[in-house]
Amino acid sequence: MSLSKKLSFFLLAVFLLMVVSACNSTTSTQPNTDEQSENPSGTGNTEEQGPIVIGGTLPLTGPFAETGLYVKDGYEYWVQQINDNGGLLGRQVELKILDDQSDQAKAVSLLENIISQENVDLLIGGYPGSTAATQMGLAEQHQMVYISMGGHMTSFNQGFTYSFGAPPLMGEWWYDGVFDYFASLPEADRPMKAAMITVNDPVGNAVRTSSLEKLEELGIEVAVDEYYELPLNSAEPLVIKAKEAGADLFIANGYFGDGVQTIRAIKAVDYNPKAVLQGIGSLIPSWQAELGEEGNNVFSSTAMHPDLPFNGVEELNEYSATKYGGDAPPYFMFGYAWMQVLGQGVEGAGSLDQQAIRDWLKSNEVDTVGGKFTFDEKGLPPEYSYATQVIDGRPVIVWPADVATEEPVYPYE
Amino acid sequence: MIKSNRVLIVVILATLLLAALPFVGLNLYLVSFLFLLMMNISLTVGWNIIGGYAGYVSFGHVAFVGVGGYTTAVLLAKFNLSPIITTPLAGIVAALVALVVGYPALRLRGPYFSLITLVISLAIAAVVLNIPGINAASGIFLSAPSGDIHSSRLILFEMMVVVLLFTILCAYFIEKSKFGIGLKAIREDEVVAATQGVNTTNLKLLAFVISGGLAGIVGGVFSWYKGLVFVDAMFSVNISVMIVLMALLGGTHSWIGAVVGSVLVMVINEFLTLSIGSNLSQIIFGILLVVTILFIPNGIVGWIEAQMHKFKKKAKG
Amino acid sequence: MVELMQAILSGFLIGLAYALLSVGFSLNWGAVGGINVSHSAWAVFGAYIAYFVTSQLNLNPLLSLVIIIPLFFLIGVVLNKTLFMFLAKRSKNIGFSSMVLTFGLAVALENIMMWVFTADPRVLKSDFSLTSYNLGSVYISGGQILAALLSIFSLGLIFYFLYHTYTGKAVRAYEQEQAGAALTGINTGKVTSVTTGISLASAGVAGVALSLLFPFEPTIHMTWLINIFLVVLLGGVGNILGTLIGGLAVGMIITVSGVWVPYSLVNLVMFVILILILIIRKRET
Repeated sequence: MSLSKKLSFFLLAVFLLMVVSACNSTTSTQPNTDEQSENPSGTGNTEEQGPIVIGGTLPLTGPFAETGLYVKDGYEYWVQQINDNGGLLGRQVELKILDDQSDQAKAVSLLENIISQENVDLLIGGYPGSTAATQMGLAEQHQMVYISMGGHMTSFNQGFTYSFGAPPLMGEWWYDGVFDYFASLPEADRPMKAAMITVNDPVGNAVRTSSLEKLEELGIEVAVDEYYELPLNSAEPLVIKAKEAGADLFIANGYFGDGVQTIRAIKAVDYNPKAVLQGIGSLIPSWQAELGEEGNNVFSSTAMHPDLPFNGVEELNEYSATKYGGDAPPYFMFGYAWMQVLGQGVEGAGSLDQQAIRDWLKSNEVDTVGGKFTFDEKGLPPEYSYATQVIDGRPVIVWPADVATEEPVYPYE
Repeated sequence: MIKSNRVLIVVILATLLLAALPFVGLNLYLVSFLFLLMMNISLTVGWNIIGGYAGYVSFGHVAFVGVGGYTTAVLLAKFNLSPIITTPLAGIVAALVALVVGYPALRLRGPYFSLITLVISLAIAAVVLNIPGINAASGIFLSAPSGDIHSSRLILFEMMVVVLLFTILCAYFIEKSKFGIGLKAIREDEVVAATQGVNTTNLKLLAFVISGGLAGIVGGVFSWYKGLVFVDAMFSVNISVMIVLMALLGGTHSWIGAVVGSVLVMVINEFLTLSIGSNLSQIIFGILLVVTILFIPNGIVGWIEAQMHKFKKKAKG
Repeated sequence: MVELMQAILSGFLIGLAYALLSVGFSLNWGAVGGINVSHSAWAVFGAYIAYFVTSQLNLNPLLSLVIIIPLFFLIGVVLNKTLFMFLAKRSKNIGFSSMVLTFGLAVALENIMMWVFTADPRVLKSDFSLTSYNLGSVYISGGQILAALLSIFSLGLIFYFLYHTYTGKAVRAYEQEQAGAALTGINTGKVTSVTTGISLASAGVAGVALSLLFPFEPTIHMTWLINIFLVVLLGGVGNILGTLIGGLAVGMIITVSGVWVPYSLVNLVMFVILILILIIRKRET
C-alpha cells in the first residue's frame, strides 16, 4: 500500500487513542470509575460536600426541540428554587442536561455519558416518549431511578422497577376524561358514530387503543378508522371521508402540525361533528398562539394544567407570566413536577441511594404541581386524565366537574 | 496498485487492541461511544463497496440497517432468540432485500440511483411499519444482553468489534480482487467496462447485496444496543445521509477513506455536542462541513496522498 | 365519489406547490450540476419571512415577496460566486461534493433559524386562510387557492424566462453543452449565478406558498426535501414541464390512492409507483 495510506491510517489510530485518553482523563475527580459505577448509590463528589448533580438528556435541537426546551426550563426553575431554599439534603443542586438532538441513539450514548463519565448522582427524564422509554431500559440496567413521562403502557410493562411516570403522559389514559363527559350526557345527546384518524406510531397507537375500548363501552359505532403517516400532505380527503360517513364524533390522534391541518380541513369542508377530539396538539402553547379561535372547541386531555388547584401552581403561573407572558406551559409544569418527585424521593429516603429512593417513592405519597401521587409496582400513579377543551383560544379543563373551570362547549362549532 | 499484507496486520492488531479496551477500565460511556464509532465505520466501509468502488452512491442504506435491526428485534421479542445468534441471519435477510431492490435500482445511474435508493428506503420503512403481526408501530422492546450493565456493554462492544473486523476484511479482499477491479472499472466508465467483457449487471448487484448484507449485520446489533426499536429511528434518513457524508469526506476510493471519514465526523460531532452543545455546535458542524469540502473536495485520504506526493517531489527535486 | 373528487382537487393544489418548491432545485441541478440540498431550508426561511410580515406587520403575506425575491436572488448569486463556483473548479464530482457542501449549509441554516426564530411551530394566518369555497360537495380553502395561483404564476414566469429571454436561453444552452456554450461567448459565470439566483428566489416564493398550506418550523426542511426528490425523480432533472407534472403527480397520487387503499399505505403506493415508473422509463431509453 502506498505510504500515504499507511500514514493516514496511522495518524488516525494515533488521533483515536489521543481522544480516548483525553476523554478518560478529563472526567471529574473519579479515581476508579469502574468501581464506582457498580455502586448503585450514585457517585458524585466526595460525600457530605459539593453539589448534588442531576443529569439527563433532552432534545434541545431537532424536531422535538420545541417541547424539550420547555421541559428544560421546568428542570432549571426547580433547581433554582431548591437551591434558593437550602438545597437538597442540605447540598446545592447542579443540573447537567446534554442535547440528544432528537436522536434516539444519541440519547442512549449521551445518557451513558451522563451516568458513567459525568457520574451524576441522580437522573431525570428525557423527551419524547420513545426516548424516555429507551432511557428507562438503560437506567434500569444501571439501577438508577428514572422519572419521566414514560413511553406509554408498553414501556411500563417491561418489568422496570426503577422507572416512574410521575406523572406520565399516557396515551392509553388520554381521552378518559372526555369519554367520562360523554358518558355523563343523556343518551340522546351523545355522539353515535365515530370517525378516527391516527398517526401510525407508538403515541398514536396508544391513544387509539384506549379510544376503541371507550367507544365500545359507550356503544358508539366506529365508521372510519384510518392510520396515516407523517407528513400529512392534506387532511381534506380524510375529513371528507368522515363527513360522508356521517360521523358525529371526530377523533384525530396526532400532533400539532397534522392537528392544525385537520382542524382547518374540518372547517374548510364544512364538516360539523358534535365533538372533535385531538391528540396532543393543543398541549403546546403554539396551538393557542398560532391558531387562536380557529382551534376552538377541540377536546383533548392533559395530566397537568395551570388552572389546577394544586400546591405550587400559582407560583409557577406568576413566574411564567414574566418568562412566557402567560400561564405556565404544560411541559414546563411537567418538567417541574418530575423534579419535584425526584427531590421528594431523595429527601424522603434521606440519601442518594437509588434503591432507597425507589422504595420510598413506592410507599409514600408525593405532592406536586400536578397533584398528589402514589406509585404502584410499575411506577405509575392511579389512572387519571383531565379533559380539556380549547375555549376562547385557550385550553381549559372541562371535566371532571370538581376541577373544571368552564362548561364544555357541545356540540362543536 | 497492490496492497501489501502489512496493512492487514495493522488492521488486525488495531482490532485486537480495540477488543481489549473495555477490559482495561474504560468507562462505560467510552465503551458506548466506541460502539457507535465502530458501527459507523462498519456502515461506511460496507457502503463504500457499492458507493465508492462501483461509484453507485446509495442514499438509502439505512433500509438495510433497519431490516437487519428488525430481524433481530422480532426474533428476540417474539422467540427469545439472542441476537448473538440471529445477527448473521439479519445480514442474510438484508442481503435478500438488497437483491430484490437492487436489481431494478441499479438500472439507474448517478444521482438518479441515489435518489431512488432514498425512495426505496422510505418504501421499505413503510412496509415494515405495516407488516401484520410484528406490531412495529407501537415499538418493540428488546431485553438487555445481560443483567449487569458492564457485561451488556461488553457483549455489544465485542459483537461490534467482530462486525467491524469482518466488514473491513470483506472490503479489503474485495478491493484487492478481480471483483474489486471490475467494480472500479464500472466506476470509471461503465459502458467501456461492459464492452471489455465485465459483467457489469452481476458485479453491481453482487456489490450491492454484500453492502446491504453487511449493513444488515450492523443493524442487527444496533437494535440491541438501543433496546427499543421503532420505525422512525430505525429507518431514519439521517443515518443514510451521514454514511454518505463520512464516505465522501474521507475519500471513497478505498476502505481507509471510509474509516478516516467516519472517525473524523463522529469524533468531531461528539466533541461539539459535549463541549458546546445545542444549536451552536450544529452550526459549527455545518460550517466545518462547508469549509472542508471546499478545500478538500475529493476526500481527505486523496488529499493526504496529494500532499505526500508533493512532499516527495520536493524532497527529490 | 365525493371523496375522489376532493382527493383529486386537494392533491392537485398541493402538487402545484410541490412543483414550485422543486423547480428551482431541478433547474440548478440540470443547468449548473449542483445538487442543492439546502433548497428546502431556504424555502423555510422564506416561509418565516412571510409569517412575520403577516403577523408583525399585519400585511398580506404576498407582500413579503417584495423582500424575498430580490433578497433570495442576491443570496443565490453570492452563494454561487463564493462557494459553488469555487467548488466546481476543484471538485471531480460536482454532484456529490455540492451535496456535502449544501448539506453543511442546510444544517447551519436550520440551526440558525432555530436559534433566532425558536423551535415553536408557526402557522400563517390571514383573512383568507379561514375562508373556504365549495364547488358542489368539494371544498377548497382560500389559502390553497392563493398558493396555487402563486405557484402557477411563478412557474409560468420561470418558463417564460427560460424560453423567451436571452439570458434564459443562455442558461438552457449552458445546460445542454457547457463547453460549447462558453465558446459561443456566453458568460458562464453570469449564467450560473443567474440560475442559482432564480433557483433560490423560487425557493423563497415556494416557502410563502407552502406556509399558506402547512404549519412549519425549522426542521421541516428535511420533509420538504424528500418531496422535492420525489418530484424531481418523476419529472426529470432540469425539465420545467416535467417538474410541473411530477409535482402534480406526487400530490395527487398520495391523496387519490387514499380513496381505495388504507391511508397508512398511501406513501407506500407513491413510492412503489415512482419506482415502477423509473424502471419502465429506463427500459424504454
